[in-house]
Amino acid sequence: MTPPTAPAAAFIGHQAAAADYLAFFASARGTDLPPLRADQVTSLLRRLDPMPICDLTLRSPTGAAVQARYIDAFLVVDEEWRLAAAVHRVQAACHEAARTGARLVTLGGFSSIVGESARFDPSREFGVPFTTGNTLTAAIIAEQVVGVAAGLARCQIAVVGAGGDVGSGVCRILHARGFRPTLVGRRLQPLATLAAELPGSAVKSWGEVAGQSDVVVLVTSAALGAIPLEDVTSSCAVLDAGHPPNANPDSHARYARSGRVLLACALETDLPALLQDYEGGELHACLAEGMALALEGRWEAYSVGRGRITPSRAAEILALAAGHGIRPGPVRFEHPKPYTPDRRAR
Amino acid sequence: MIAAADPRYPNVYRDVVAHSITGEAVGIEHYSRMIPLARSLDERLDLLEDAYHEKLHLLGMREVGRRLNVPEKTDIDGPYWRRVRHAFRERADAGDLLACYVMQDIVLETFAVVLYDAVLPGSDLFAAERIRVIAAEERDHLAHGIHALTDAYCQDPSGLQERVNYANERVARVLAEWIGPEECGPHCGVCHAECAKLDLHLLGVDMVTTQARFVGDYGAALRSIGFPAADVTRWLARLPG
Repeated sequence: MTPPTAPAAAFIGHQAAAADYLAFFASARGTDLPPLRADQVTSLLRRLDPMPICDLTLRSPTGAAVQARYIDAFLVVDEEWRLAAAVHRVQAACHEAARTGARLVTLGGFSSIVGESARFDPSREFGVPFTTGNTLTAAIIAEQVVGVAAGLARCQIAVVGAGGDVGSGVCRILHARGFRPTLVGRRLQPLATLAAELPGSAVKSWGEVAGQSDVVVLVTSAALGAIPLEDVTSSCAVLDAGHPPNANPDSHARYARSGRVLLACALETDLPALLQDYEGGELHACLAEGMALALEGRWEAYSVGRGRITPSRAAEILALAAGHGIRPGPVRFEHPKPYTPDRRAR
Repeated sequence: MIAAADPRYPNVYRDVVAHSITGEAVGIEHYSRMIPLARSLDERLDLLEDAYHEKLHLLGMREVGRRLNVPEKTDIDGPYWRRVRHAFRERADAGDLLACYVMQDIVLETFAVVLYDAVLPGSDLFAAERIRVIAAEERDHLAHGIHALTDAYCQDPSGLQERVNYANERVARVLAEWIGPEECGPHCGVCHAECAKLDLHLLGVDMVTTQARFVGDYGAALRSIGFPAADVTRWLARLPG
């Protein structure tokens, strides 16, 4: 055991659902003790302050290496989540991250959505650059959509959550690649503004496009499983980039998780339980953006939210990430079992 | 939350007093056991002072009880404290001062600070004044323990890790179980009648929050000593339930 040194990078994240925390704690707890009950974990999570969970070492094929710390915000984004409580958690997680002395902090998953919703600027508040990881996320999703679309004769794409930071970025990138995505979201104003920016794109409701689309990209700030898939056709490809997943897949959808990268760079951790939910070598693109920036020695708030993702910035971060062996993850169409509170209990 | 003038207040608070007095009595015993193990005269004097502080805390809470006219009760041999004291005595008898510091200055002082902080907002002025002072001194003990064990960790990381393993299994898990939201299985011996957890909400105390605070603060103390976050996560994952 070696004494910890100040990490160069910090990552703020959270598990997708309470069931994933249950599995994580069961794994970290050891096999000699019975696992905690789901209700014990859920109630504890709602009161536990964010804390550092483990240390990571990133090694690029270029030879660059970075020490990092992972901080869990213990965000459970289900039907009971509340913005005010989530903001408190994200702020506390940012405080923990800043305390590590890291030169760059990445706001993974829902933590960036919470921060943006509360108009909270951690870079200014803590004097450390924070990146949301959204630019690489949008770039990776767009690459995955293009890959799926390449096999289709007709490709009508609907982006659900197009008014958000990642969603608008995906739409801009796809538009620049010649697609004309349909824009779906709750708030009409940002959708109308985006449609004016992207000629040929239309704003429609989910009810209008669900049965008409060949590819659906889910990138909303909705809680776990909030987007119904009953009306999509059996040939429609649903790419769910939500963390937590936006849809609770039913049996007929061609459903795949999206927004993940495949790492050729090494990611070592002293707590393997953290990565148990990922297929080998995969990781969420938001965290990968922070990894790529840190390996490159670019200590900057690359992605700051508020719909500023452009095709040129996306191309830049995609190339930068590729230079460190970080590439779009495979799109696996499968029929995963829906999330239930005890799905992953052991 | 009930007001101090509420006739239910003394009944609820009698268990707070009982638990405080009992915990402080255990603290006196532990520091007293550590004194013969001290490695220097200064350390011996420090431990003596720590024991004396615990005595003052006990007397302060006894005074709170008298003021509220509640009967005094204490039981350091109840099912929870017995396990904690037995674990401590085992290491003290073996001359393992470092393990004693981990158990008393880190685990038990964190526990004390968290519980005093939990009841403070619902306490009347007289009790609150004393509890605030006591909690501040327990915080000092905790800070002193972190400082001392940080040096010990630098000298022998794996040796200290073994001590935390022991303290986590034998003490921290007992305490985390004890302050869980569910009614105690065996009666702890300290509460006057039924489990105090049933009434603590009247003082604004939420046991799940208190348990989570203990888990969080205990983890923070261990990380402050220098333990890698992953080791601390594994220890914490073994706690509740």
